[in-house]
Amino acid sequence: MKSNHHTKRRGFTLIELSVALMMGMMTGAMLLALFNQQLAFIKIYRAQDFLSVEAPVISTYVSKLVGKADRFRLHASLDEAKAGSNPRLTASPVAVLNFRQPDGTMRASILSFEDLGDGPALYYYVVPTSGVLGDPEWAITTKAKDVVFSADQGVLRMSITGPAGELITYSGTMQQ
Amino acid sequence: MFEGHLLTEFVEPGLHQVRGGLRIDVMDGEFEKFSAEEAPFHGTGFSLGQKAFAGADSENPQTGLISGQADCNVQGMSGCPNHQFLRRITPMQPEGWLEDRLGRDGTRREAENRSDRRPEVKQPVHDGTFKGFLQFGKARSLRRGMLLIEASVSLSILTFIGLVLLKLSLNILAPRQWGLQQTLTDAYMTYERAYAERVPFENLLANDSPWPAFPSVSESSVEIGRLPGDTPIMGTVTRTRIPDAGNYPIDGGTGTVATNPAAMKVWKVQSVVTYSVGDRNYAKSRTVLRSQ
Repeated sequence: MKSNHHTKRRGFTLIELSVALMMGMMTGAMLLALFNQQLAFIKIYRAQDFLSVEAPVISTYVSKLVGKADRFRLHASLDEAKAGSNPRLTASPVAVLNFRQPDGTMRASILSFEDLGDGPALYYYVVPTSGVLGDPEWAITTKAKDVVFSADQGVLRMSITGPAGELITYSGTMQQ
Repeated sequence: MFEGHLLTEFVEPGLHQVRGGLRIDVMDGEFEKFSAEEAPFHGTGFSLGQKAFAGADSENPQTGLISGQADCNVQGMSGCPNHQFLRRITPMQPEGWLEDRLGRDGTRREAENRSDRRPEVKQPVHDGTFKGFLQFGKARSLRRGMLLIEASVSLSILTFIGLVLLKLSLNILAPRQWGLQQTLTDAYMTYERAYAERVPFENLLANDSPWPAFPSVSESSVEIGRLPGDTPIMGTVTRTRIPDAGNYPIDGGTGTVATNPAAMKVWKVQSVVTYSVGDRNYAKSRTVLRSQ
């Protein structure tokens, strides 16, 4: 009885096996496609983060600073900015902002895009009354690949290049 | 140890199984023992009844409580051990692989216990089939092709999930993409506004003014910014200035000395940026009021 039972069985045909294999492969391919789709989604989502999240925050900080400034200067380096030498209007990584105080004196602050050892970042310095520049007050952003200040028609422009090659330019004028 | 307890535990299931076919003898309140000699059943499954309770070991009750399966593989039994224990399953002639599992052990054990080593050829009186296992056998026969069906269903489900996830991703990414364009154009408009506020008044009113007097306009193509991947976004800037109605006629207004005694010159300096996102065109404007 047992042996008869087994002899009644038949195996799968080549077509059946092929169809089953094809279905299995298609299921695997679909799973792989789903995985790749999610990876691509995360990649695109992260690539958009700089322009949608980081850049507006930078703009908020810098526009507040620039809007309160009475005048600005551009320099090629922090040392030149501290010395006040070689001011220029072309693209520069350092911008000096001057603010008139209530007592009529002037104070200065510096926006500098530089690498202090932790990677390039846009730092904000407050120049003390003693004139000796210390550590930056804070890093406005550490995610930008490049920050360039320039002057166009008397307007201070700040072009920020993101890690994915995105470019956004904010502009501002001194208070009138 | 099991006095009374096993009696109440086993009487009901035992009666349920052998209803009308067995006679129950009670032996001094000890274990209930089926009179298996008189049972009409034969074969492996029902020879178990002979040992079911009589073979119960008071030292190790677990070994004898499941009929004749003292050392058997419980997973290979027909039905869960609990049902075997409670004898809710009618002893039967197993079929197919169950026969391989149950019949082999049981028949071997029976054969070992017999002095006559000849194989047992006697078939059970009843046909040995059981309704539940008939269905099980049919289910087994229906399994042929189940792999294909399951694979097809899984593929369909995966495809559906993929489409849903793709739609969800697009629902998230599309507004962000639109928002990126807004961020870039807003940033560019800060220049138009700052320039309009900064430009000297004489330059504003000059013949080569960046903002010519309306209806004249100046148009120029500008790079608004770059999207991730260094993709430039281009737009068109249209500039014009509109005089206030109170200006003197020489400044485009209809004012008089009576209506504008201070000879104020007021201009609305307007910049409009047009750009495209997909198939749609967008326009964004900033207006600055300049006066002298």
